[in-house]
Amino acid sequence: MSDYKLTAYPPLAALSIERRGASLVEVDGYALCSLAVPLGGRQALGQCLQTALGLALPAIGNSCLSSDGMYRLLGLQQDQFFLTAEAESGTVTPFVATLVEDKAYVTDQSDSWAKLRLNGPIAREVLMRLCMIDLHPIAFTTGAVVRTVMEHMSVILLKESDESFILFTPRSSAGSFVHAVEEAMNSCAAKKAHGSSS
Amino acid sequence: MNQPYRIAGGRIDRSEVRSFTFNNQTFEGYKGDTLASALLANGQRLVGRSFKYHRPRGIFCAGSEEPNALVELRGGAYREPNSRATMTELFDGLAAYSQNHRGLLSFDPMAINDVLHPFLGAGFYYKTFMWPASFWEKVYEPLIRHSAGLGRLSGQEDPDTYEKGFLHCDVLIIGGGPAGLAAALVAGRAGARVVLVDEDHLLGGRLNTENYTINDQPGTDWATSCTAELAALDNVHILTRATVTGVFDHGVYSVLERNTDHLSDAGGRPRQSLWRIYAKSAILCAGATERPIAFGNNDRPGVMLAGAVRAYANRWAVASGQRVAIFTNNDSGWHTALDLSAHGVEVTAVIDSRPVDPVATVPGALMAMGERVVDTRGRKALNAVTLSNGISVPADSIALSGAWNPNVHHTCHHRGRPQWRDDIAAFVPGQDLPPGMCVAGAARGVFGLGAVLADAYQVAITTIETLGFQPSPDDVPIAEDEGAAISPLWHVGESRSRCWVDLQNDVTAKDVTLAHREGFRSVEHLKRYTTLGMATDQGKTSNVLGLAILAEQSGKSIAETGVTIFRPPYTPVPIAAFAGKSRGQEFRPVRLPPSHQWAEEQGAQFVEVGPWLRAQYYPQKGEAHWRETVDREVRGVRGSVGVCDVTTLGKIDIQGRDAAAFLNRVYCNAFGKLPIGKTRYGVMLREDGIVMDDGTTARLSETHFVMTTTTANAVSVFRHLEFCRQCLWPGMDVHLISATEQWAQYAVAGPNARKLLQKIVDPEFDISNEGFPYMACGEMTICGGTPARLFRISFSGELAYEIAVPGRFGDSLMRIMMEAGVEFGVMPYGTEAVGVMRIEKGHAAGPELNGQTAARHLGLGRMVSKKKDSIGSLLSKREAMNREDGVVLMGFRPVDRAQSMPAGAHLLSKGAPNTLAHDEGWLSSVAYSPELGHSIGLGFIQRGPDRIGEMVRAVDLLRNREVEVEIVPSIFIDPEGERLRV
Repeated sequence: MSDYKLTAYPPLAALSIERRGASLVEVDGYALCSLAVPLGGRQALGQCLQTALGLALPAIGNSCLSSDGMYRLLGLQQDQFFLTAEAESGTVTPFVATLVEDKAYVTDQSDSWAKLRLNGPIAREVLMRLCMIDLHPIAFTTGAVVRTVMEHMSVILLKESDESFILFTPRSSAGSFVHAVEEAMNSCAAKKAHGSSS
Repeated sequence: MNQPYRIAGGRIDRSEVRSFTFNNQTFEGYKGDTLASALLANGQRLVGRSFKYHRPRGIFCAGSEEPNALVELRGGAYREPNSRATMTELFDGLAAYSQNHRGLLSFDPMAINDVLHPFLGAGFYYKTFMWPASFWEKVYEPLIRHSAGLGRLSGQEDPDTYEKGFLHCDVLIIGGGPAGLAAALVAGRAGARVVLVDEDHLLGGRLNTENYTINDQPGTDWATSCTAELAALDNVHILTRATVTGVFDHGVYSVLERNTDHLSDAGGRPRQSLWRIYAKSAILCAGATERPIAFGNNDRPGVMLAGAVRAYANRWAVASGQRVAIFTNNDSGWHTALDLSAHGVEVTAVIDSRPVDPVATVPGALMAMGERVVDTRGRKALNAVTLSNGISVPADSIALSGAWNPNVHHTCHHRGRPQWRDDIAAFVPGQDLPPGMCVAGAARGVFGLGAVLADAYQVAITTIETLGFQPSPDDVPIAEDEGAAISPLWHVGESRSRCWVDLQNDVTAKDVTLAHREGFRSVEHLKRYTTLGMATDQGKTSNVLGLAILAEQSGKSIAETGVTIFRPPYTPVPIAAFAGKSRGQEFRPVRLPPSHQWAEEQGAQFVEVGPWLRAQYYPQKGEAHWRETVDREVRGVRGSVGVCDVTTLGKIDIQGRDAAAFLNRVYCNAFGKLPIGKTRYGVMLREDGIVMDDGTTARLSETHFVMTTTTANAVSVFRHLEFCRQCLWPGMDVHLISATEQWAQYAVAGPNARKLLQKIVDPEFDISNEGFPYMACGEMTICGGTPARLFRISFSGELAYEIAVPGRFGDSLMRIMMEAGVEFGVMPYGTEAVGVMRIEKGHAAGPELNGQTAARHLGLGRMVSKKKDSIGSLLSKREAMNREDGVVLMGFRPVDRAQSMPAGAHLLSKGAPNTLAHDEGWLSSVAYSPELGHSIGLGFIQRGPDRIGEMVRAVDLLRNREVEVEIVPSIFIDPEGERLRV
């Protein structure tokens, strides 16, 4: 038995930023893995996830929450889904891989991304300064998800509600990303404080 | 007297006094004033000097087209040059300074240029500063730059902040005048998502500057009620103090919003926002701009456009003078005469070039029908005008109208060409508008308020119906159509004095004539030769006038002459707004590997590798030179064990039933039969046979591989593989995902590497030489159950491993390996030591994979499998790539071992001249080998393997160095690779 024990650190050291109208908080204790659909195996994977977790395969740009609220499946590209779940251990990949067997190719992504929650009445206005996607409620509904770019950094954006968004951003550049979001929050908060819109 | 030119009425708030300074002299104005209106109210006519002749200049317009009244605003690092006084809202404490003069504004010695004007015509620089050629850069250009130019930059870092953002809409409405408001109402009421943009802080456009009536109520009240209704609609987003600066592809528009330019204190807000608007359609309601007439000395302070004079009187309650003369070729001048009379301002004369009966009765004014103004008097301010009939009329201001040009600027951003309309003597938008754009109102040559409103309604209804919205059945607001009736007059030919065409660039009618005489027939050439239409105003008041004069000269029609192309931006945009937040440290994202914080604690020096910051070396106390540090690190690895963060190398997770077959096609060497639990070095070629990248790929299961790429090519290789997968072989079952960030990966290298790892790898996993031989790979656990991957691969040539753990354990693993390795004297090493050791081992890296070298050049020709087809294998058989005298990667060492070798030097035979024809190769990588005690290098030389032991010259003509070097095998240390396998 090794004498050493490794310690896990979240990418942003449990970051939390509060501004008037919005907060940005790092979410820890979650797992993320990708599921690639084998050629011609979409139906088999769909049945498997439906039976095991109560998850339907979402269309690209949408997500599906399991009936128990434990798992969310994100439709990201033609033959790829991301599965996210709360998990103290930081991974569900071995469990999912066992579950789907050869019906999907599973790759752990839990440590690839930092997970942030942007929350508050001005959350959308903050994102309008970072994100080229149309986030108006009629265009980007609750549960919608998109993989996009903000300030030259890759982001997976998930809408939890009109005032709450989840942002996954690569671990290595998470510091730069937070700085960009913080600047946008500062700008919006200052505009709000002076009573102007947009 | 305070504000002697202030008159009654206006849309200013007299209860709120605003104090400001101009050239350090304090003045007062009111809330709602612009700097221009406040200066005029205070009788400050002289506001600047002209660009070339340093002639006194005043305010000419009332909007963003202003060519003359450019000032510097604010002070210190906040200084903003070339600001238009007409667009500067007055605030308490505003400090403005005139520009483009030496010494006092009222006494500028550079005005000598005006006396010398016969020598300073168009093309003066090109003709004069020809000789001697060497004087141009050192003498002439600095001199000219010093004499000319507009405002000065602060030279300090901009202390303001700027932001960018994105907006989306169904309908973008450009301009919030009567047409824009009407169109916004139609679209907004129908439920379309509307963004309405106007450069003023007050919507309404000319409704705010004229005495119009709409639906029997004052035009201003209609604008106010429209604004209130639009502001209450959730689906309408109003951006005021904002300008649509450009029209780009796919319905993308750029908008500059000025958030705090009208405030003394930004209060933490960004000064300006640069919005990118994605619009399904756009309605251009940009209105029209009045143009002047060129006549003698038409540039004196007090000469203004008639519409501007009217605007100052009606909106800002300011008279442009005490005695105003009107000079017009259309009805617009008469509106000014009547409005001024109504305000009690004396109109001394109405000079109308049309030989018609007076359009209206103007009390006390001389009616000069069919006459023209030929000259003016008054040095620093106008005092009289001379008419073509010889009469001199006293006037301290001229309200000038040469009719109106539709603002077609935005319709040309996709290279659309405007069309000439004789009936209004103006260009209107052509047929080839940017996709999705319509034009309404005066911007498309519909003049008269009633007609404008009806047009805007119709265009908006058509637009929203196309988008699937149902317009609400509203009646078009009723308004009268004021007359226009233009009879073109561009240039008063009988004027003997200089007639200004472009006030901002000091271009006169004579300059245009001269340019034509010298052969500049195209309007584009005219622009470049005379500078007509350049600089901040981009000729908004001068372009059509200039080309009309050119047309007169050439005997062509204006339609035939054409107009210069309009390009973004519509009005100037600060570079800072384009930069937004991308400045200083935030210029681009920084990627940090998992050991970064630990490395910082060790005092590491970092190097940028693409966006990554990697530890370059770890200096210790007492080390005076980086080489001392790097030598120690190399000795540490080769003597015992070292650890290096290699997380930055690209890791691509490849899975699928066809994954092995896929790798077989993308790598030139065989991968199909790589056993599970093994790693192999692979070389990837481009289609043309040149090496794209190299790395190792490990097989974790039948259907699962992990590929590593170089740090630099991680993204491009991934993109290439996706292209292969999706486009070349869509029938293959293979899937890719980046795992670069997922795993924190460290190289553990040196004779004690295994011993160090055995202290952390959980004991149930056998990593002995037999149990885990060279090129083995496997998934295991370390430190009591943490999942890990281990690869026995080596870049250093020593017994070496790469160990990977999930990213969250990366920092901890580095610290633990340092702790566990104390007994071995473990040495963290950086990219410099990596570089030294790979050169010692003859491994190719970035300098060798430079996009010019094929496998054969790298000495890897035999790796290109002939038993299978792979990308690049066919074209690597080309004759030119297989020449016997082709270059091959070899090792080099200096004949005099005390010498270093210059990387990048070219290799030439002894006695050969230093010419390209005798070039035999180049030195690609050079390092000092602490083990060998001298400089070593890798390079490419013709027929390399046949020439071992030959002395050649490494010649570096850039650094003026030449070193005699010996050709040796590329592997300097442990050529048999024994150290790898122990």
